[in-house]
Amino acid sequence: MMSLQIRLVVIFSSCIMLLIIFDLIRRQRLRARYSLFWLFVGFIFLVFSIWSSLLNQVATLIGVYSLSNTLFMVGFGGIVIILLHFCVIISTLSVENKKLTQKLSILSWRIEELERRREMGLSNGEG
Amino acid sequence: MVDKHKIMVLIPTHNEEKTIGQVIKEVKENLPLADIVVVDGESTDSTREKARSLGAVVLELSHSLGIGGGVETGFRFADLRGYDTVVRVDGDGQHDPKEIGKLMEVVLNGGADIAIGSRYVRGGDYKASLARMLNTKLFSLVVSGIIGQKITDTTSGFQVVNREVVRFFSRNYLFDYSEVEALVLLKKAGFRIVEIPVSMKERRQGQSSFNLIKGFFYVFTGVLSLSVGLLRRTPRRRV
Repeated sequence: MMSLQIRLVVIFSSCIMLLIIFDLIRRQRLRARYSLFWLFVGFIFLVFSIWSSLLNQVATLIGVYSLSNTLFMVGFGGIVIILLHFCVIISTLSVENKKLTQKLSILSWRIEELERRREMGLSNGEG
Repeated sequence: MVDKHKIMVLIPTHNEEKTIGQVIKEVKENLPLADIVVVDGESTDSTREKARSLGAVVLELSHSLGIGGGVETGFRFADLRGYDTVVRVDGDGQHDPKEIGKLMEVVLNGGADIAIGSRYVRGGDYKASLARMLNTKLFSLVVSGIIGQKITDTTSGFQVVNREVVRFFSRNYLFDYSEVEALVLLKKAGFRIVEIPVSMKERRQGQSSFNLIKGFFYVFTGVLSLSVGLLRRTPRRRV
């Protein structure tokens, strides 16, 4: 059985975490699509700490005797998934960033070239 | 969009003001009709200005994408401008532009889609340090084993490629383009690779920072990235 103190700490920290995430979304500091995993992990923590019999069943299922350890295991698993999710996002962003940088360099050259040709055309016209 | 001149010389640079002028002059002497494109990754010296003053097209990257990202930019440019052949030489003056003809001949005759100037094929006279030699041998073993063709100089940046290879690299983004990964992908996609012995000059600028530890790290990450890359779906050559 999980002690009342640990349950209260987990409930309190889960609520704080969910509130912070909602506030970040509200202030547009965090895009909703990137907050889904955090919300999911926070929600799971909250459910397990309130409904400890469910946590008990999960602990029995995976063969962990201590409920606190089960809770930490679930949290650790959630964070690993979040990190993996962020690595995918970073990889996608770095490819997008590379594409943009490459296109920017080519477009900059084309603009300079067009301006140069236009200036040459103008000076030839004047002459 | 078709250009009058169909040959492009691609030179990726980063702070190469001491050598870029000579490289461009020598390339012009050997390929007077080719367009020279310098892709510069955030140089803080006068590389860009020098290249521009000698008539080269300079593509300025807003931040460094590494040599691979620079080369990829050049291929995209070549694809957009409709070049038939791209010659790749380094900006540090190690590649002798007099040797370009040997590589071009093979590609233009249809003997290969990509010709690589190799320092290690019999006939070349390159003297490598122990660290570089070990590194090269390891990569050569791995790459040759994977693609079923002996490649002696897997990291050579001295290459001539035809239009199909240009389109392939321009339209299929690699996560971290490297010569080694590119070779495996090209072979998997059905391109023909040929190595030609070339002589290399001494570096004219700076000292090579390559040592045994860096070499080992380079091989380790390279082989890892190569192995993971093998899991990726590779498009065929007709793209």
